[in-house]
Amino acid sequence: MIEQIEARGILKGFNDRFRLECSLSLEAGCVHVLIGPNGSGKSTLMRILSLIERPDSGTLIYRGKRQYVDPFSEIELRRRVVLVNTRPVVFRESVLENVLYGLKIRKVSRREALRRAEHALKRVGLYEMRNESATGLSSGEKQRLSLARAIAVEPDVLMLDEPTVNLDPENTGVIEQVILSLKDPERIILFVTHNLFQARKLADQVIFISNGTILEQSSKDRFFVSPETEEARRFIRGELY
Amino acid sequence: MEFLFQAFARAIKIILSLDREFVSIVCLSLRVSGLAVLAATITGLGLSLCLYQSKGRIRRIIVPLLNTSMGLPPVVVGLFLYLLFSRTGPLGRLNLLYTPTLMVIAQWVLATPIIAALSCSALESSDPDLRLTALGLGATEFQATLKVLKESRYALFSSIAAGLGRVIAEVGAVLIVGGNIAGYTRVMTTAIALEADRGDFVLAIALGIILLGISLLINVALYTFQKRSPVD
Repeated sequence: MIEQIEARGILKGFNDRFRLECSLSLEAGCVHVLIGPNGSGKSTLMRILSLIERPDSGTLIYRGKRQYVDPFSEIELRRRVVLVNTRPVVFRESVLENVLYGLKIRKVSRREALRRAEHALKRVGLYEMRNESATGLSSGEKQRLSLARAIAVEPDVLMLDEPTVNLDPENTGVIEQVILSLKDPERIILFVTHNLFQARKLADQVIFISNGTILEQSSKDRFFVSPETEEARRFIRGELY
Repeated sequence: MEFLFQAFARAIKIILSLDREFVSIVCLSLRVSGLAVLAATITGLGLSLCLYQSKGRIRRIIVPLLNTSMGLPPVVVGLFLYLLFSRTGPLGRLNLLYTPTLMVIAQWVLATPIIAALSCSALESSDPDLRLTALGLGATEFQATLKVLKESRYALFSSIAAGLGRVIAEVGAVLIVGGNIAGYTRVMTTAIALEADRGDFVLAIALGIILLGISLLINVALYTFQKRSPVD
């Protein structure tokens, strides 16, 4: 179990055009919602925290029974962290095989993998479509499938990068319900959204990022009632996109 | 016209009778081109993977070079290899001139750029988020690359088929480096050229029918395989 993720002085630059520079802490048992204007560095930060992209400098510490100071080189740790992208990419195989992928690379036995995959598909409402080709699903179904792939591997850390963007209310509702049901004292959830209503609905903690810098990290109530920075106030009023 | 019909009829007879010379020519062609394409698939796919993962200047230099090499004239490749492997050439000591081995090498040189360039293009046109998705699910770099390869399998198969199509029908390079020695380095294309030159069209037509049949088979296999590809 991962109890805490601590990012200290994370720095990532992109040819002088943009620079992500931040520190934050994520605790197990909480749904953290990362919000901020477009181009503020949310997706880059997600990729770094998901151990997919290395920062130029800074320290990322994963704390559990063991403390991982260089978590990028620990494949077993990486496999306890799952990232669900904004745009769902499905593999050219059946819905069930898509969900089995993450389990196969973790060398879970076929029987256990099938049990977990079917359970995950039931949770997102795709069990009846398990033998259909995943490429034929609608956008909303593809995103639900992405979530099922993540659920099936039972991650300690679940990162969701705007998983409901461009989805209809029905699919959005299903995904929100599943995320709330995944809340667990032994799991860290980090969720990126632009939707302030969704942030209010799902968040325990809100992390506000603007121009590559984390300006606030506080409880949902505190953030929405009395934000500390002018940028956050403008973002809540809908003046920053 | 009657002459043509008669020649076709006799050619069909040769095919059906499994004439020894005819069979040995077809088998050698398949062996040489098959081995060349196998080797070119390994090197071509390897090269395309390296290019897919590399960025910047190396890629900008190598990709246009590869694309240009797709149109390498077989006679020039044959001539270059002839000079390299002739007795006075730098690799003459290997005694490979006029052997099937050098024919395989010549066809490998011709097929590699085709397979590499088309595979590279196939990988580049794959979904850019595919790799990120696999990594996000806990795949290692190697596993994510395998996933990208698997997802691009239909386009990759096309590139291999294009490589095979190119080498099995080529005559210039194998004629120069193989010497068209009967029963040893004579393949379908060189035999057709020789028989047509001699004015003996029957064996040439029989071999031509087989050559066309192989091309047709490759394309039917390719079409069937691609029809199985789910549409996004």
